Amino acid sequence: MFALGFPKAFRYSRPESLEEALEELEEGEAVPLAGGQSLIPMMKLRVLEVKGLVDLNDLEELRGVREVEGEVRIGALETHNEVATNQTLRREFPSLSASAWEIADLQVRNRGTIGGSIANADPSSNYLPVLMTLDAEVVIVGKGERRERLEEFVRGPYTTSLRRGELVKEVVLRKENRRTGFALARRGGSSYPIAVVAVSMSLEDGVVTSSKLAIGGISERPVSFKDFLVGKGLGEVKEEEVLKAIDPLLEEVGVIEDVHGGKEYKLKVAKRLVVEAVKEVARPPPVKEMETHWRNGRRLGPSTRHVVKVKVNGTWLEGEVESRKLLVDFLRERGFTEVKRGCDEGKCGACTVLVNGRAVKSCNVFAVQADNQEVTTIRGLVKGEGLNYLQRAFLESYAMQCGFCTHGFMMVTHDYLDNVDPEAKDETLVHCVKNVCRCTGYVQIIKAIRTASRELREKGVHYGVT
Amino acid sequence: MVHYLEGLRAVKGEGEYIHDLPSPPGTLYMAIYRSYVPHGRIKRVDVSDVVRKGGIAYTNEDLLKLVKAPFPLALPVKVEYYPVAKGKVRFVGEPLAVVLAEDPYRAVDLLEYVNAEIEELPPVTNAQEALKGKALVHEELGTNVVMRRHMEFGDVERAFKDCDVVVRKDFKVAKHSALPLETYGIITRFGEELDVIANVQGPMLQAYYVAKALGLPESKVRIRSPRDIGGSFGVKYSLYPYIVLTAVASKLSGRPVRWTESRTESFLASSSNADREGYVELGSTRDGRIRAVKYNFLEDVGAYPRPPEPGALFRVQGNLNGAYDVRNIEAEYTVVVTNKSPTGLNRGYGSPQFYFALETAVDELAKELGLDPLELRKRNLITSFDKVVQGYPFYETATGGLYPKQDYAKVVQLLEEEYKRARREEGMGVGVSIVIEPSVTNLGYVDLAVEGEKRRHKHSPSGEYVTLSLNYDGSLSVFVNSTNEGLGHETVVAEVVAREFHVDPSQVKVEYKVDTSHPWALSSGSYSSRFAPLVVSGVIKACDALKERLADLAKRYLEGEVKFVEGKFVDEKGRSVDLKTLASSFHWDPYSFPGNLTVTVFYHSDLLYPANGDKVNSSLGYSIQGHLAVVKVDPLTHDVKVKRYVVIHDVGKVLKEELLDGVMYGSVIQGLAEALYERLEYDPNGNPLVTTFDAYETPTLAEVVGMEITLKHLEGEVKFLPSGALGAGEGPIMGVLATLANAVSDALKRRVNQVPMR
Ligand SMILES: Cc1cc2nc3c(=O)[nH]c(=O)nc-3n(C[C@H](O)[C@H](O)[C@H](O)COP(=O)(O)OP(=O)(O)OC[C@H]3O[C@@H](n4cnc5c(N)ncnc54)[C@H](O)[C@@H]3O)c2cc1C
Ligand code: FES
Ligand code: FES
Repeated sequence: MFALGFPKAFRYSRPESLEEALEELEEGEAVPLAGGQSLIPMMKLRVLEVKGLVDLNDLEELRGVREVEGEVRIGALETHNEVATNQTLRREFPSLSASAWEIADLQVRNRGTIGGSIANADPSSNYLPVLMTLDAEVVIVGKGERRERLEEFVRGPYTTSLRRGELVKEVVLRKENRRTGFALARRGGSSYPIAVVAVSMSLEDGVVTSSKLAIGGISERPVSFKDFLVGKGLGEVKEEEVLKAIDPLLEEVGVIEDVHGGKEYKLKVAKRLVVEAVKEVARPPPVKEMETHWRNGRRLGPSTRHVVKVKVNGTWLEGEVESRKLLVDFLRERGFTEVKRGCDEGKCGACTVLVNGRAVKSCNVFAVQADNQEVTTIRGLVKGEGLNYLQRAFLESYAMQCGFCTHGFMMVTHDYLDNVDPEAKDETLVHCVKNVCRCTGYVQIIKAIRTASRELREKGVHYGVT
Repeated sequence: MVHYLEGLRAVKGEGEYIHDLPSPPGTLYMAIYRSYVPHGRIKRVDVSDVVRKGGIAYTNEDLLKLVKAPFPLALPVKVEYYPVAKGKVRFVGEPLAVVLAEDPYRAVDLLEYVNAEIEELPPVTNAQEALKGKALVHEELGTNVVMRRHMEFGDVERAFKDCDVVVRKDFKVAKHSALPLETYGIITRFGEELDVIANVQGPMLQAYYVAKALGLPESKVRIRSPRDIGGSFGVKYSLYPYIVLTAVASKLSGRPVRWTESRTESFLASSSNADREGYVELGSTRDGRIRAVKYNFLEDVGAYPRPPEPGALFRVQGNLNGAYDVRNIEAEYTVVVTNKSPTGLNRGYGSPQFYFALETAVDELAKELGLDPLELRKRNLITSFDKVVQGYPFYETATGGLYPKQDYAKVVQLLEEEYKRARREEGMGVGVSIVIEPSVTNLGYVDLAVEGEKRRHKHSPSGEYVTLSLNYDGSLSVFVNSTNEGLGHETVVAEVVAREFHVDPSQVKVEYKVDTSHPWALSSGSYSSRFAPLVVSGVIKACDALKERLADLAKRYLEGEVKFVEGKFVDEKGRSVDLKTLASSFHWDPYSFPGNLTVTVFYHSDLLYPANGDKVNSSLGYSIQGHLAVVKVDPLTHDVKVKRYVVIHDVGKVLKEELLDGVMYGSVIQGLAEALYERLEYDPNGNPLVTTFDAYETPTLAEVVGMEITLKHLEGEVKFLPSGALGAGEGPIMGVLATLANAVSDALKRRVNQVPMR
């Protein structure tokens, strides 16, 4: 089957408490839904079929970053952007922040969660190698609560030790003074990483006394090695020495070959990344703290249809929808055709809208998830006649040809300038705006983003103001 | 505020694209059940479970009952190309059945209830295997070779013999699709007449083929396109199998039928260029004068030679010598079918592959001769344009092309300045190439698929109709039966007409879309960069014709000779009458002011005539373009980072610089994607590996941040075209593959022979 992009029908519920959620998971054939950024694409591509989804987003028990007795506990629902920018995590675990920041794009990071990512155990997950090098533990709740080392928790590709009726509650890290590094490579901008490398090292007088190296992406399960480069002085260690040290370790790794590359190539990339991760200290992203709010505040029992109320551009729209109805289709059917659909996998960004002010791919959320929330398209960002600063910047930069991608680009740019980096610096831009345009070669879009940034800063103009 | 009509619609979210159009009442959504095996005999297609589930479905046999004939082909071979598999399936993704439902989610659900039994046959998955012929894609042919052509211009054998040095350079270019962001979409009603709305790229390849397949006279077929099309790059010219499927489904169900292609389906089965491999031989004197060139191309067109294939080989026929003064040229072409998706139109149409082959071979020759690659190119550059045709100077190529006189030396001199600067940067690979960009296709070149003596008819379509009216209030309306995929055609036409009539562009309403109930030409459509040279020339001709009619009217107000000056007709005594007055007089009182203020002109250049043997002037415009790339290559992984890219060209008159820049940036990056990342790859068993952007490795905005792209437009005079402008939309992608390969080869100190470079 190749006509894709629409998930199969399922029952959706949105419990109010952890207890209720666990009960539903225990009873039915439902699986948890967190950010949906892995689940929904898989359902749309029909590689995954579920009978029911239990939306975790209203469970406050799974949120927050807490420091408890020398440990830092990260709630499963912390989004990638929150993990990347949280003050505590930045300070204590810069490689974790860095790895979160390099996941996909701004939109995916706004929704996707750390708990969802590790529960998904994708071999090319950004987090797994880092968490391995930080000796992370996972708190699992079900009938009781248990704690497991991440390395044991992840069993293989897409498999973990989670049993039916269990949830990841927290990821726990011990505070320790280590030097950490992180490096990642992908082929082309729209692909998942082909290799992810993390390292943590304890040093004495610049000499490595203990260390852990982990490599993900190239094999079925990320691999980790202890005591890499122990005894070496980091200051003077040469590239050749690092490469020599890594060679025997990589021999043991069963490399998966795929469309992105054969074994030889992937090993070379992994080596390049090991050198980078060792040489460069991991740096958290140069942006302020970000918070996302996805709580709907309205309990829904399991059903294949729900009545929803969504505020679109200031007006409440009410209607009954199938649980599987994607927000993009919900909006388009109601005349918001500026929201486009350009792919089946949640990559291209043409469908981007603002939900509660944050850029989200509307093909990667169900309409029922936008219940009780505010959705904004470009039309909601203009007051009266005329154009707002974004529209002006895009138009004056000739930042479009066919115009099919334009709306999505404006939406993500809005979130980017508003919440991430008003100055639109290269180093943040490359990790945030990763939509696809097939026509323009992006040059004039980049110009438009810079123009909008300038206008925003110099004139203080903002959306709603023309 | 800037004047950019399409851009304004885009930022306001007011574009009118196919997927945004409302469905007619009673519309059913169609989903296509496609072959999951690359090659096999169809045993059974059963849709009874779909019906049991309350859906409507038609098998290939049901559908074929209403298909009167296979699509006509450009090749005289006994291949039957139907919109749905017949007897056998020949590629993964070939349609086998359709399902109809009230909503698209449900239509996709119902696909699961189609049961197809296919007896698998060994697949043919690449051109080399196709040549061996162990398995046959079309048994009735007895071979997988659907065309062999050999042609010679000049005395090739002797020229090679006289050469001091001969180099041979092998190459491979992978299957690639420009892949517009908007997928195909069709809304069809087929009652007494066939009424189709689709995001087609022009009327001909749809109307003609659809009418033939359904056995309808042209008068019963109406095809329209929406105002905005979400990109095409040639790809949306291959929509006809699907239009026929919707038509038959509509006829059988008695309801309007709507189909929206999924992204996955677009990867599997929409248009792409062919996998091409082969070699180039260059013969030269010791001091670097190229005397002869030989091309050997093996083209894998997939399961069916979908028309206009194998046109991709001949699109460059008039410019087979590139920018160089080479008179002895040999070409040997072989076209094979394999169990992959059929190829077709795709940006650059054959030229990126061609220039990749030629321009990397030139570098190879330079190495052999110990010459600098740019120096070798300079020594062979065309310098004299001494063929006068219709009063204009040209260089006539050995293969029949007419290159208009341009200052090639100037372009190369500017390129050399950039080149010298780049050479001083340390640790970088530097590559150059020079291409002659053809624009405005002469469809007559498709005839070259058949030997001259066997051709039954002559062909030379390339013209365009333009309709222009002066409305009662003095505003103007233009209609062009073509398509607007975001190239700013409405904007530019409005500006040209406004300038001609001295009105504000807001006074000009432009409709730039397909509607076959208006006059249209077989060559109508937006392809081969024909807008600036041809359509705009037609627009100017239409303005001239309308002004003539207005002058007649003006004479009723004025005396003696009248002239059009700054929006008014003026007579010798200095009296004047303005447009608005004339418009109003005619419209409100045609009794007193008889005339006709609507003109339809057909513009076609006499420089485009049918092929003569294997010689053909395959394009109307040819313009020089110099490329330079500066790259950094990781010594360990060989990953390539493009630091700087420069394109310098002579484009004639620049109609609107921002739009020209935009289309060229886009073309550069599409070329870069093809050179470094994107490839429609199949596994050794013929299964497609690429059905997502992830697997296609599409570059995003992030890959372009920090890359410096410089464009330089020279505006040489182009007198033989009323618009004075040459095409420019495809030149960059024609040169990027070769330029990047040359730069990477320079960095690695060894030759790169294939793209994508991985
Ligand atoms: C275009 C795109 C690009 C991406 N690129 C990358 C990338 O470069 N690197 C990367 O690491 N990831 C990437 N991702 C994946 C992204 O990080 C996902 O967000 C993440 O993998 C899953 O988290 P989620 O919260 O979205 O989980 P969901 O999709 O909601 O769930 C994923 C799985 O985990 C289960 N689950 C979720 N939460 C819990 C819980 N608390 N307890 C138990 N089970 C749970 C679900 O049932 C499901 O099986 C990409 C995604 C997209 C769409
Ligand atoms: S990311 Fe939503 S349609 Fe492509
Ligand atoms: S303008 Fe066409 S996809 Fe971006």
